[in-house]
Amino acid sequence: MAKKHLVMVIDLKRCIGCNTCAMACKVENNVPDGIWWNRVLTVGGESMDTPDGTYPNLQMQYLTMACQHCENPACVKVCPVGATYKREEDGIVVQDYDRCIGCRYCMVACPYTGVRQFNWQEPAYQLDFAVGDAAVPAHQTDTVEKCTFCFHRLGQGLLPACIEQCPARARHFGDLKDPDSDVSMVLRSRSHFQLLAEKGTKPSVYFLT
Amino acid sequence: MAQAQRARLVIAVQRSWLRETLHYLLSDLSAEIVSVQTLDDLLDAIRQPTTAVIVDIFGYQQPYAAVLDALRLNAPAVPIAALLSTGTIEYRDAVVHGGANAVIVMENAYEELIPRIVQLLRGKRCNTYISRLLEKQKNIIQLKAKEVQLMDDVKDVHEQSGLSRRTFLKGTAAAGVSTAVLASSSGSIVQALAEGVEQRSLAAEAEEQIFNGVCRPNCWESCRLHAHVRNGRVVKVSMAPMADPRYNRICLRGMTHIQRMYHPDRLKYPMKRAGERGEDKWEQISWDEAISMIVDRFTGIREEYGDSALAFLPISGNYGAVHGSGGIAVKMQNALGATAIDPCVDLAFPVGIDRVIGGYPFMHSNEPADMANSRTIIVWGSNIAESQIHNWHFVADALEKGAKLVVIDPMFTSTAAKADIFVPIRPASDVALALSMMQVIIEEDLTDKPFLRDHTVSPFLVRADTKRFLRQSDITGEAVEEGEEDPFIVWDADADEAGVLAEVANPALEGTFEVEGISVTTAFSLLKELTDQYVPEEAAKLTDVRPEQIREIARLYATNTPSMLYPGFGPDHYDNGQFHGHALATLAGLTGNIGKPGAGAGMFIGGAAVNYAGIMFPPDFHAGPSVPILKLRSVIETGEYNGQPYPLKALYVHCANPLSNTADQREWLDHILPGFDFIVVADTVMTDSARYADLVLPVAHWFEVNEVVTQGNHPIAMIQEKAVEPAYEAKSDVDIMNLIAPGLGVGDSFTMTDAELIDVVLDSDALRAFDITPETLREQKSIRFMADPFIYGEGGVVPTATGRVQFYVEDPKPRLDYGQDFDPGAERLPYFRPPAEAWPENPLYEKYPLVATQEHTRWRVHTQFFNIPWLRELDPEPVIKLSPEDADARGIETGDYVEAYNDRGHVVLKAIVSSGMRPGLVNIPKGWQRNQFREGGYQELTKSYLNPVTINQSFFDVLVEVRKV
Repeated sequence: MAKKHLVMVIDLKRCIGCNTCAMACKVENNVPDGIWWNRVLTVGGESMDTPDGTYPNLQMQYLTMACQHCENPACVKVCPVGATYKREEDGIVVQDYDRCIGCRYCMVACPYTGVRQFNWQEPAYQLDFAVGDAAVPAHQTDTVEKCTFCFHRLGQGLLPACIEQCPARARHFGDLKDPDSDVSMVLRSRSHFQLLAEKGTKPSVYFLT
Repeated sequence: MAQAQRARLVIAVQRSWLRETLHYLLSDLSAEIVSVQTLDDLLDAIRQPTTAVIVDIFGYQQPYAAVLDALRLNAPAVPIAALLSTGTIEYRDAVVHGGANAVIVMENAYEELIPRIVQLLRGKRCNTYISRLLEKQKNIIQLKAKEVQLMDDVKDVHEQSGLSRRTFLKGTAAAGVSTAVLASSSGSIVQALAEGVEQRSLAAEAEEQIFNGVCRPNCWESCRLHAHVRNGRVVKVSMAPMADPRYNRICLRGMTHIQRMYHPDRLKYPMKRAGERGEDKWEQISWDEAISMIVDRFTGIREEYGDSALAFLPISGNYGAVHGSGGIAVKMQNALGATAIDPCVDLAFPVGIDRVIGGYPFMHSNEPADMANSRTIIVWGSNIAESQIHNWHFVADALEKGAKLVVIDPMFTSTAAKADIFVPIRPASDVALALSMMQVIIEEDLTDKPFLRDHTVSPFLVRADTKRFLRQSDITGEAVEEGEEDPFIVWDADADEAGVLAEVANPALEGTFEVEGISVTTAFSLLKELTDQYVPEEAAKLTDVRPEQIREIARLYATNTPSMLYPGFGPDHYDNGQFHGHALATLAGLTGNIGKPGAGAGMFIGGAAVNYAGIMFPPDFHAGPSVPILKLRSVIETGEYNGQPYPLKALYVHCANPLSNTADQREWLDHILPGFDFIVVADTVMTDSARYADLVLPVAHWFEVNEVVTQGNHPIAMIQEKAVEPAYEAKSDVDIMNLIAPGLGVGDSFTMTDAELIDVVLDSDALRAFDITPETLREQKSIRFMADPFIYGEGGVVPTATGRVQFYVEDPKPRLDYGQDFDPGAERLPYFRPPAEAWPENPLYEKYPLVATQEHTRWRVHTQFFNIPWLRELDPEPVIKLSPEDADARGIETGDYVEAYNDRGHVVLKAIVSSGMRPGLVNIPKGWQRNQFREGGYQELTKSYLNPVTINQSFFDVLVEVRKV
């Protein structure tokens, strides 16, 4: 039994797709060029920031996508070397670069396309020094990487970067096992959904509608 | 899985320096390292499972071939790296043929060792070791290339380590870092390699310091940030708490300052032009040479043509009070008596709203946090969700409390996606819609009568002859002494006679009367006469908005109160822009939606009452004249302004990129710039404007100076602490001005540092009233400078001549007076008038049937952030968005490259087909340099119309055609 169940709750009514969460993640974790752990998708037309429908009867919604830190994670089951595993203490799904052999089974197994990224080449950066938090592990060639719920920040008593920097105040984070936590309360009071709930992965990311 | 086991490396090297180097290199790989001396020991060692062998192949008594044979025989699968020297290099091929998997020349060890080991390990799939080795190799190369830079870092570390208050130790003490770095400047390979290792491990543990920062481009938002510094470089930017936490803020752009500061294209040193203007050929020069060049050219031009032949051009690139658009360079302009170029941007709306409720230019509404109290929010010509990201959460708060959101925009924006009602309006017809809403509100008797009576000019009587308000002196015939009050006359509805405003309890709001033989009509009746022409069915023909929808939003606005009108600069960017401001304030006046929480009709781009005079005006200054940017071509070409000779010869551009941010780029390229003999551009990066300069000055980034920021979309003053020294040879605007001042004879006025100038700026009683002093601000970093809450025109008393909402303007004035003609009669009420170009009745519409707008997106702020790699990963290149109808008609699909063109110019860029685009409207999101387009430039399409009242750039009043290329 996990001591905590850390979850993320994203309010789609407040989210404006501004990409600040995506950028906060990218910088905090010194994510290599071309790789985004947290992306903003447009639910609408075919291109980014375009709606669905016929002018002027249109709809558009933004959805931020990162690792869902599932309670029943498909990635963990298929990893042949135990490089991806679920932390006992808080339910975070962790990716250990040093153990990863780059087989990418986890990427195939994960139903949330794109949340796991693979370094096909040596991680490249525009800058010749590491940015973000110094405690972030170095990125490695031939390994899979993804959102960590900023576990390096949790240890310092901080919230994940995307939660703290969100200018729309649209993101919540906390322990779902604590009935008085922000996330428990907001989930009790608002309608919500999880992505691909029918797959049985039990994601730890909830979206308020 | 090989990966799961610990790697085992056997090293057989005789030379001790090389053996030690190898150990250093491999020491933190957590691999097992076995060092052996004799061949027997080596052969013995490889009997155990071994990942690789590194062997000094000529270090044994046995011939090299025998050594290789022995290795192959005893461990056929173990990769071998053979070490040669320059003396034995000719054996390279032979050694490889003999069975070595890699060859390393010992003298080149620092370059070859790691790549070769990596090569060996690749076959073994030792990811961890490979990536660590590669990281190390990078460090070694950097060490070699950056000895000088590292020395600078040492200096920084020492300087910063004194600031213990802001210091967050994360392990090794700073002194350790500097020792390692210092040592790196002395040479041997061993040392370099050793220090490479040490440097890297220390870098990870180096202390992190946090400095207070402020992001301050012209997005209005002015975010207080934290700049995190390690090893003398900013490595992270994060949100910092505001004095009022409702205003805590950061956006995606704010976090990318690191890539602005250390971008390879950052301007690094002064450069003078070495080819034709715009050819992008440069010669690096010293600051001394740059300074004397400016001094010589400026002095020569002043002597020959006079002080005003020098012109300074700031726009809005920096909200800092010391280094910004109204800072130290303006002081220089005033010290020299140089011409101030008025940039003429975003000023039509201010002209219009200021007539009615005051607050020119940008301060005519409640503080943004108050929006949470609104029950109806009408966002009109703005895309809050992208261009004022930080105001969005106040709207979201209101919506959570049940408020309604109406978005009036020709495009379906990210804000429109959140609206309860999206009003898809024809571009530039906003005033017709506003007049129609007024018609509905008046017709359905939804006005706020007490407010009309007490807080607007509704009951004022307008003379049919002079069009001015009737005053007591008009009746008595006695002129009033200067400074004496001349009371307004109203019609007493109860007594049915004229009376003095203050003495009439129930003035008539409507009617035409005769007073002492003077025919007068109430201001309200004149307005009603105008609005009667815009019943929704009529307005629908102009606005293309359904009559039912006009009635719906008018009723919502007037009844679901308090209501907030949230305008943007969309409608401002047409030739009829002033009437948008005029009309919105009128709507607010009719319904009493001003001067109370949750209501308003304008903008809040606040600014504290800092001591601007102290920084902008030196003692005994002689401020030069001002020339509007829209007159620049004519002044250049005729050599005259206002009918007087006016040579303009030198241009100093700061906090601005006029070439890609002002209208009609070809006019700049072909007519304006060639007219100047000498152009200096001070910037952090090579912009279009810098590319056409004669001299380019590298300016310090915002985090590289001391600064104070008191302007923005919140009532909070903030301090910028210098986080790092300016990169390369960049200098702050203050330092640049201090350097050129003595040669120009004004040295006495330019002696202060940026930190000292902060003290000057903050020397203000208005600030001290809120306990803001240099000391308190340095201590607290951000302090609120307004009462909480700030309600504009509280109680309905607005800062106008009458203290009332003056929707009828008796004496309209142009924004600037340069002797131009204009028709005051066309300005007194919020008249709808088609724009200059972008309107179906314009004959040009036959040839160019598409209106071209420039959305301000989240990806840039004007042209700032145009080259940030992180942002360009998400938004890689310029695009034009078209409706499916317009795209189909031209055979255009998403991803095609298309040309947008008109008689002024053209641009070639990628097309995106979006159903969010109104048919007949195209959108080129703003903020690129010319070399980012396939051809041309987006500002080539825009035209510099000169509206004689607003003297404002009409960026969207543009017609184009688009074709596939």
